[in-house]
Amino acid sequence: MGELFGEVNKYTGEWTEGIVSELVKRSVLAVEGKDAHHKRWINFDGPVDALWIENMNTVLDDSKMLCLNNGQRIKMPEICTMMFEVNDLKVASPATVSRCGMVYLEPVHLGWEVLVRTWTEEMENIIIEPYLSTVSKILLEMLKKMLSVLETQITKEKIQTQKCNLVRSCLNFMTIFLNKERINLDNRDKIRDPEKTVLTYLAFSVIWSLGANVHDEQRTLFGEYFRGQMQTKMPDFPNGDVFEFGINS
Amino acid sequence: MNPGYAGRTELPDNLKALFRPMAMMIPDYRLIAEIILYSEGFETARALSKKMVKLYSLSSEQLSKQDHYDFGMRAVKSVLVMAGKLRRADAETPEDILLIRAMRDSNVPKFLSDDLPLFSGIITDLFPGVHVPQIDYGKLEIEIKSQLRLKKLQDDKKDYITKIIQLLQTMTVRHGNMVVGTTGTGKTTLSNTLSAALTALYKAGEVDYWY
Repeated sequence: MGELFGEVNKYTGEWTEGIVSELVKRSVLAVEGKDAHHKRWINFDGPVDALWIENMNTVLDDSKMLCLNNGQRIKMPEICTMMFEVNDLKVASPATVSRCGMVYLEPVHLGWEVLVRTWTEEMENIIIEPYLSTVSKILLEMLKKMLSVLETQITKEKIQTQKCNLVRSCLNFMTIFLNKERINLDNRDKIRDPEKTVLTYLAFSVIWSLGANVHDEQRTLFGEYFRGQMQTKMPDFPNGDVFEFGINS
Repeated sequence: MNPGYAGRTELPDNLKALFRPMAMMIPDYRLIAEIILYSEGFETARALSKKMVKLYSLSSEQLSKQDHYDFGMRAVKSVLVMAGKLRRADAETPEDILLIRAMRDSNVPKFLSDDLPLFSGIITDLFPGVHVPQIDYGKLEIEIKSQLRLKKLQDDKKDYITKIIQLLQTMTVRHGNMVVGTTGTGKTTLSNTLSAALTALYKAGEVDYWY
């Protein structure tokens, strides 16, 4: 609280400026500068807590007045906008909610497919065609199937996750592994069967991202679904517990 | 004091006994809306205010309950002021269309996708036969797309780009804004992209935007 809005030192009576008060003061000063017409956004990225956000109520009102602990009152200039990026508003009071304009984002607006597409673009200089398009196509297909399985049948997870979390961690795995292999033109000869290598890594990544969070009871079920999917792409995908697999390079 | 209100604490009984309680009533939104609409220059304020209040009460009844929904006085007021702004900017358009536009622009951004059809249903029920054109944000949209491409992100998610524009719309009405959503829905990217796009437009010499 003190760091955010500033506080008075109990013993010396000194006033220490907080982040918000400092920012607002700077934008007040900026109004007189040459960039006077530049818009300023003060962005709060993080969960809302009734504790600190209640103090913002006066700022969010039409009066736009920031009241500080030391009795200072700062009028926020017209060019200033307060922004909050929050997960949910479970603890925010209706007073705060009604003072703010809301933009609500849902996973459906973005989806996770875009992550894979961006990843594919990033990997362009690491994997060469035609392997890249193959792998991204299989990855998309695979993730789609497995995510829908996770959504409908294997619903017990250890930690609550979002689809995009899982996809992101899967892609991180892929990046790490494929960076190591670097399937590019230079050492094409070194790898006997690039497609198989890539697919193996893909399988491993999916198991340890999408499958990693599955509850113990359902791991075998996940393994079965996964094997069923994988064997259509890679006929010699071995039987056995998928969570025991390693990659023998 | 506000009994049972989230974020406030209850006054202890021994203190409460020392004060004289006074109950407050929810005011008549319709009358307030009508007066504000008149003062903003609307001629058919009476009919419009009736419909508007109806819309808000229906919305709060029929749509799902969400923490970030609010159909109270403050929301009504901000919509009315926005409608007034639109009215002064564009005197040609019929008043009901302006009001619908204001209500749509300030409410749609916060709705869940499941609630959207319900809301547009309510609007068509209350304003039958009125067609509200979508506003075209041509240059801004192009700039947003190119900013997304610059960051090597995908630019073909129509919904997401709409959300970016909606943030701007909300910002023109309110000076406090919240972007709400679970992890990975692109909250930070949303505001960063909007700010980058607006800055780029400003540098390109555009003046009619909100940079």
